[in-house]
Amino acid sequence: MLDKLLSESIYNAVFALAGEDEISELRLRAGKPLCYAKNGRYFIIEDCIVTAEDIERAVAVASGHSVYAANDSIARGYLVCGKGYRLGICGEGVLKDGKLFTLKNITSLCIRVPHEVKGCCDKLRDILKNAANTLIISPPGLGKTTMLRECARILSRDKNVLVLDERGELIPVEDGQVTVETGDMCDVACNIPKITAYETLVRTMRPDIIITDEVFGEREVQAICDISRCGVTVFASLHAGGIGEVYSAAIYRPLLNVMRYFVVLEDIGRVAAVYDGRENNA
Amino acid sequence: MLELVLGGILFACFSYAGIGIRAYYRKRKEIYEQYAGYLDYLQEDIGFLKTPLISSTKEYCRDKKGEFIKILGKYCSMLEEGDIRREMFDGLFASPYIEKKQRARLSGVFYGLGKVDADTQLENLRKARAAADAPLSYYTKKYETTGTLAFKLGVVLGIAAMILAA
Repeated sequence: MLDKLLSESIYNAVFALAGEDEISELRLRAGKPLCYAKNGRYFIIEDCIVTAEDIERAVAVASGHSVYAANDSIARGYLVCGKGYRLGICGEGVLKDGKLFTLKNITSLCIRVPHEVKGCCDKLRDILKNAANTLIISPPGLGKTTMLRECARILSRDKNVLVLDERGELIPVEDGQVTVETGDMCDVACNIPKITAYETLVRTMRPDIIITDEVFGEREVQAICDISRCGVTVFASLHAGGIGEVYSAAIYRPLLNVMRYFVVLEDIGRVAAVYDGRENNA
Repeated sequence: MLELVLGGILFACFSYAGIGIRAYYRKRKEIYEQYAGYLDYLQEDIGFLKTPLISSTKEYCRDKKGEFIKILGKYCSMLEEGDIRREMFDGLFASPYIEKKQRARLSGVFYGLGKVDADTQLENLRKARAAADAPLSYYTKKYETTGTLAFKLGVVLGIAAMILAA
């Protein structure tokens, strides 16, 4: 996918220095040198200057050359393509009736490179066996999505798992086909707003487990609480520095009552601590 | 005997030339028929499902043949490769069956595809479809008149040449 997203000069400049498996992020800023992240550190390639055409090409490819299909996503500042490559987009907003309608003159892209890391859930074996409500917590970029993807793969071997993938990066679907490995009992609801999916698919698909990425805001927290009260197990992730931040943020506090396990990540795919809501610090 | 063979060869040559000219006009007409059909198809597909351009184009091309379908195939490959420079679009329509003034117009339409929101895209497609009506009827008429005439003329000239040679 990156060979299509990136122009030849950028692609060659990056991959002369690192393999695709090692790179977690690429930063393209018009008129500035290319920047990439490897093993959690950022590196700048001074002699590789990103042009506006490079950015235009990446956006065109990521949108499938179909802005009309991707405009809602562009207006929310991102695009997802291939096997879960996510492009954060920064540019000039265009307003329509007072609402952000689209972005123009895009000046910066943050390309997140997805990685399937089998075995990253080894430390969660007991949690997966119990299949109890679990919240994965970490700051951005430390592998929450990767871990949830692996949870989905393992859990859907013998349980009905419904993946609510609002951004299309957790279990990417292309032309009606799931592009990453899942179990035989996995259903994927892609590009559907979480709240809509909670309200409809929980009834219609009757899942045993729901897996969803990046819980955000009061309504989503409330929906998760409601679902878990219905007897459906929830695996979710949350942007936070640690469990202390969940305690201190009033809108996330209800999650403490319904979640059994809290998994805190400290580095890419590395579990720092697992807290058991019943026992405290397992 | 030799005269008869020569007459036969002349007949075949003239007839073949007539068939060739007719095929040329038919292909020009077909290009615009398929182009108009493609624009209609896109309007439906984008209007309701917002299907991405490559999938939509591939679906339209399924089980179809012709010059325009070949162009659409190249167009899809170009998009898949991510090579969307303006000159690539101009090169797409460098076909002997498309007149130079039409090449720029078609290239402009294709270059603009997929670059705007759904409402604007549909409006642009409607305009392009309306603009395709004039060349479509022109080339259809050309095929029915000049193309058919060339074919008949070829056959008649072939017969005349055969008689003269015999």
